[in-house]
Amino acid sequence: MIERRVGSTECVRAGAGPCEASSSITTPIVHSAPFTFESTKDLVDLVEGHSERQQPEYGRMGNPTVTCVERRLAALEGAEKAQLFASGMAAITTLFFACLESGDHMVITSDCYKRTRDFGAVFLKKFGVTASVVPPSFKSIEQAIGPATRLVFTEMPTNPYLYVVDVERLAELGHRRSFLTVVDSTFATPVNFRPLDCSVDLVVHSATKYLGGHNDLIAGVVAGSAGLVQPVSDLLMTLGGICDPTTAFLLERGLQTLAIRVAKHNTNGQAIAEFLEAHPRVSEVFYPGLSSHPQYDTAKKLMTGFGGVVTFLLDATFEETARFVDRLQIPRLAPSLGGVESLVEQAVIMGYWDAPREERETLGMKDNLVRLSLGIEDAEDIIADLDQALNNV
Amino acid sequence: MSSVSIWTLAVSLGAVESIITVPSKMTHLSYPREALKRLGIEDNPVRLSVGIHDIGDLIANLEMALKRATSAE
Repeated sequence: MIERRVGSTECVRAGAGPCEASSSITTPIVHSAPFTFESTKDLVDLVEGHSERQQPEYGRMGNPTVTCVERRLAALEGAEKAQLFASGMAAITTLFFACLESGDHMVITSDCYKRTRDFGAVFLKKFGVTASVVPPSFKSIEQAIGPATRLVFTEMPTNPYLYVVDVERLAELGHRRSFLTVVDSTFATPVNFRPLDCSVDLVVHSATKYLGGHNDLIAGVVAGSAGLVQPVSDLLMTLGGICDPTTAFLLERGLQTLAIRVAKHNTNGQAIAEFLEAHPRVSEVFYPGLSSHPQYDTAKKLMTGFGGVVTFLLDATFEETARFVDRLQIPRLAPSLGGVESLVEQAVIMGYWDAPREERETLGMKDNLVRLSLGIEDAEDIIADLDQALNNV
Repeated sequence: MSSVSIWTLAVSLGAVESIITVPSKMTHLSYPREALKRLGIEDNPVRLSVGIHDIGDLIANLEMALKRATSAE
């Protein structure tokens, strides 16, 4: 009598062994929660640092696929070390928690992604961290620096008005006054600007945007010197907002075409900003590549291109602005930016619907404000589409 | 070949990577010598599948590899 053909022991262990994947031209996606050891000695060697092996014992501490993509990100930002996260917000919150403690003061520029600003200026109060929210200029930041200031955070350029703070001067001031300069470079990408080349301490990205580039993943990254990034990585191992290996694989795929895509975003951005500035139904355009931009000289000094986001005010009411957005055929109505598809949003509806009128006004969230996040479609097609929508407002 | 670093030694083509193939040793390895001769695929043809790297880097890398190959002879 046959006692057993295939039992669970066979299903789990029979034929199982290491997978030879090192000659793959792409980075293999390694899905594993624990990572094994041949013997207790191997484990002890790893924890004592005598092992050639880099892979920790558990996926929350590191993953081979994610590590490969982090190496690419570090190379692109000119950083010693890069750390991936589950999202841009996981990156920023973990960084703030790692770098700040009770009694510290931080400075955040006012034109900023709402959740970043609220986390720094409102939520962190709970932990005894105070924050000044100041207009996005070097001068305003400098005036807000005090003896307890430990960290200054700005976006490069800022969202949605695309201000360009002179972060080179800021980093220099930071080294004299002992605060960390942290730049969210999501809108710039390392193709247009590399904060670490200007002695900025840490660079953050929502990798969801240009780095991924295809609107199909959510991830974040922090990059800088090993000494500054390591404590952030250590805290991530506890907080747990890690990037999964399939997301890392998609991100690596996107990174390979970053320079090609950003070149197209840059030419689209410039062409469409110039078109909008000349259009009678548009009252004001904000784009760092326009000579009318208040920080045009700083942008020219620091950046080699200005990206695909163009923000503008229509000569229109709230309802007319909504009608303009709805008439557009190419840009899809959605938040986010940096992907191959063009996206459009009426900022006051997308991000500030619940915000009191006073807060909206302070932050410049006007009824007729439109943020256009250009994709890589051809500029003449986008211009024709904008023109028909503008002429029918 | 080891001095060729931007170029990946592999078969296939048409991807972001730049790939270098030696047909006689790779795609046509199973062909008899006579057949290869008829097809003009002897030891020295090299097939490049140019990816999306910057052209200056690709050329510089090839030049370096060519120099090394000839100086080793």
